[in-house]
Amino acid sequence: MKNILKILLIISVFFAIGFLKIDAASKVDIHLFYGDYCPHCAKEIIMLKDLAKKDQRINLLLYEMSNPKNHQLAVEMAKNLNTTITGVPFTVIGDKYFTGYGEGYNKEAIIKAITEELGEEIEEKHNYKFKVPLLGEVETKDLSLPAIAILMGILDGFNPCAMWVLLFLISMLIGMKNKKEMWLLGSTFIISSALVYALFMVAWLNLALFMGSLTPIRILIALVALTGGVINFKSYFDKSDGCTIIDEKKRKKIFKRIKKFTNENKLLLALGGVILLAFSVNLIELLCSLGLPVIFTQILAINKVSTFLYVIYIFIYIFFFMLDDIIVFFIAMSTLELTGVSTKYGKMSNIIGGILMIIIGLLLIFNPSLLMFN
Amino acid sequence: MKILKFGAVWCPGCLVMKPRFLEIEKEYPWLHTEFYDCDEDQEMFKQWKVNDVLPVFIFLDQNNQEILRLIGEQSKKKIIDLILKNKDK
Repeated sequence: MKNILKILLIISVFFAIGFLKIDAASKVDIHLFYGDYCPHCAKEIIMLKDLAKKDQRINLLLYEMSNPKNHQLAVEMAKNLNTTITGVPFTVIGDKYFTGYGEGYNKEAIIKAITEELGEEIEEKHNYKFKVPLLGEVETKDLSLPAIAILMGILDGFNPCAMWVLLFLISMLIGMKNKKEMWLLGSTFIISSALVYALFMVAWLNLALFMGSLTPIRILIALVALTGGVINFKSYFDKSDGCTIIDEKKRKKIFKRIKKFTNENKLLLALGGVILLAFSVNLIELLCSLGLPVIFTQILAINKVSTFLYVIYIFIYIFFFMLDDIIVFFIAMSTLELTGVSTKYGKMSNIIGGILMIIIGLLLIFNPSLLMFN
Repeated sequence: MKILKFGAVWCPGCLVMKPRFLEIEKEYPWLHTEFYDCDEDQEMFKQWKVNDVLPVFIFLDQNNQEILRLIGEQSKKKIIDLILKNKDK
């Protein structure tokens, strides 16, 4: 029970970082109904996005009018305000509404309406900025995606699927006479494993960026997250604190491959063997991860950051995913003694991962905008 | 009393238990333990029906009859308590 409370606390802190911008007491919702090909709408969106960026109490909600649901919502909102929609953009702020947009036309009035709703001037202080040594000024919203990348990477890393291969590989490497080769083969396995994951995540991200805005795809990923969450929960309550014995046939096949390249005299052939092994093992690991990388790339796709940031976030995820492997490898190579990571962490990752996946799954279905941190 | 330890080089939980047992064996030198590896001692694994989760620790009495078995990672304290409780069996 104590553990579950601790876990809930960790998850609340994590979500607090992501959703700090939600300050219910003083926030203002701006409902903007727009058309895709309307130039005035585009100008107003830019202006309001700028304001929302400055002051996180401003919550900009955009509705494209060709969507029947959005159209229906606009009609209902207008009806509540005793008006009818005569054109776009149609902006609703509290009990005030504006049709059309222009610099000298109603921009001032829109800003005034926002200020009145907030009860004070629009200020950048509500952006929750703080100073970090070396990095300078950091906004809390900028921390959300890295925080998710770190958390999900760690949770995925404790998944024990590929760890047994690494441990057996290390046990073979420790026995090698050539220590340089020992380091080279081990680090090639780890780098190749990271590369397989990176390739998969980049491919999935491209797919998600291409199709991610389609509701069926979002729902499908949400179902993957919910199923993964339930399986994680089940594993937490089912499994004892130990390692499941891997099928003997599968074990022997992998061990044979490892023994073959650790006994290989030609370094290039040995390296080729390690790379092939890392690729095949980690492809299986991807299935074993219960969709965590898929869910993470979907979150990245929703947030639409720059290509550079996509690469950085995927790198952060993979680094933390590989961290336990890297630690075990370095300790073993330096001490020539194998060390294990307690299976208790695996169990903890089951429960934290389970809760996280269920929350993300539900958000993807009911309120994906809460996963948009930018 | 004797303890049979079943583990594997590729099992993180078994590696975590290794130093814990080394300490126990140092503190109780009269304790008799035997280790069996999943890939090298398959007969023993079959004989003692260890086929699901590792590590497994089987406590035997003087007639080699099983008194109890622990499955998965265990705390040092729990193992010591059980050793002291069963040492005369």
